[in-house]
Amino acid sequence: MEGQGLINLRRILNFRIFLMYSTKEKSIFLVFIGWILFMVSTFLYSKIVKEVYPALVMPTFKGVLLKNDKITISEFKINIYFANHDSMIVERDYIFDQLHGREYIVYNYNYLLTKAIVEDATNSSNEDQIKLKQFKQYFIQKIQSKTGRMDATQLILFKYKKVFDLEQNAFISKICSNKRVFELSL
Amino acid sequence: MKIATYLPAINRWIHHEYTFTIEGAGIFRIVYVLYCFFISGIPNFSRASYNPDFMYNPSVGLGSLIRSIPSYGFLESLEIILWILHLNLLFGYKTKWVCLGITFFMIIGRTFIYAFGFIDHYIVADVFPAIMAFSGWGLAYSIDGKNSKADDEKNNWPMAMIALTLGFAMFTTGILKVIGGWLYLNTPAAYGHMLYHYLSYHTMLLAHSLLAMKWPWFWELADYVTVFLELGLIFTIGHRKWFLQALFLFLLFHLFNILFLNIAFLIHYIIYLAYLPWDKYHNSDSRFYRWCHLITTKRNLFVTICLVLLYKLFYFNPVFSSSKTTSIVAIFPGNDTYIAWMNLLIVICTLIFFMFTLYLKPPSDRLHIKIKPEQQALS
Repeated sequence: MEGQGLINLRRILNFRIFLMYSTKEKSIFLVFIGWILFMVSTFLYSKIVKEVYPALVMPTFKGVLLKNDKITISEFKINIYFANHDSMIVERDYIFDQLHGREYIVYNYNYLLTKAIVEDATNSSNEDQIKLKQFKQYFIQKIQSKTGRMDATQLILFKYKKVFDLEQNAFISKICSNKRVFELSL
Repeated sequence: MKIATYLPAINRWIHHEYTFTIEGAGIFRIVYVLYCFFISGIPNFSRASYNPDFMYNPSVGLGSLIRSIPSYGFLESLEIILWILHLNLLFGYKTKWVCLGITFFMIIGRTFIYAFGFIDHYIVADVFPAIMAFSGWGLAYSIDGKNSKADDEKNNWPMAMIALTLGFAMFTTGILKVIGGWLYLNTPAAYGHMLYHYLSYHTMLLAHSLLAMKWPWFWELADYVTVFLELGLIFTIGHRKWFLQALFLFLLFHLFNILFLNIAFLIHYIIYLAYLPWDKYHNSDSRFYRWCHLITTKRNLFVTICLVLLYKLFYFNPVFSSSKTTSIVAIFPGNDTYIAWMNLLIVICTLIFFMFTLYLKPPSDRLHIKIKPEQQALS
């Protein structure tokens, strides 16, 4: 059976035509195949890192938050929005206009915050918790040095208000509560 | 079905679909480098060194080999190397190796920049010079072109490979949207995206006017058009004409993105422009050709590199040091109005240039019209 399979494969591929091409054409053909395989594999890898991993983490995150009495459902929505929308809080804000690498700060902050919310709720502590504390201090210090009038909490509340204003129009609530769109934003 | 029966067609596509002339490619190379310097900008890696060490959190890759952010000096050196390599590319000196070097150093620099969590969309632009290295775009309007010992040769396949890469990149963004639910009729995803950008202070140009638009079918249509465009590009790469039409649609798509979402992907426009018939601008009698021939010498390249390095060393520009790139768009990093209007201007100019070049008659036709009476008289 195996022998028959090989013969069938050989018939399908018909390598004789391929072998007729010049060495240069053959090598370029192989480069194209390699390039396609590389692109597909990197895409699949990034998909696993970006989607499969959060898909495993997020149900726990959602469950823990909903069971926690201290966090209401609207806060949960906002947290989701906050944690997963990079520029929601500071990216384009005038406060960070002159700050080097502002985007990276926001992304890292969101990442750490998401992790910290999960880990706070499960009473676990690790290196990320320490990192988050360090980051919060850095964040507040930067904001204070730039504005001298607003601390991080006020800034976050200020932005939350913007979201709530729109939520009354039932735009954001639909988007935030929509699991599919939410997953996409990861 | 025999796979091998498709081999001749695939082989023809690889080697003959995206043909160009070395003169056309030479002109494009010059435009590409100038675009990289002034429009999309050479990245400013050194600003990453201002971030605190604890934020350094690299993904799997080169960045994970070291435990903290590289020093300012190291990142600044990467930038200077990139400046020198781009100047070499402008003059067309050792083009193949210079192009490979640009991609290599770009990827190293980006590795450290991306180690703070944010991964941007520059990969197609970063691999572009490495693929073009084998096209022979340094054989005209260049120092290599004058050197008979240059080891470059003209190949069409890099253009096919870039078309494939661009098509695949767009396809991946489209397929993720499909999986994420953009096409569900109850999810106005484009509207959500617009709101998200609006809340992030992307409020320039026509962004505000769309905020009040609540007609669901309009937003569903936007969802479908976006996904259709992104998924469709890869199916047009089989024919150059189709691909060019699709790239034109993409430029229109970018125009709408800038107008309503204030998002610009400046680095992609120059890749689209690579597929234009640049040979239409080649004329060996032109002043530009003679000027390029005169100016592309090793001595001039050396002088230019020295001048640029002196500028970088002695005139430490605080504008460029805080900006992401050397682009004219990044001159005022905090001024959203300026950025939005500059982006709009660039996309409109690119669109006009794209249309103009597509419909411009080739020089042979123009020449033919001119000499036709003489030919008739001779005959």
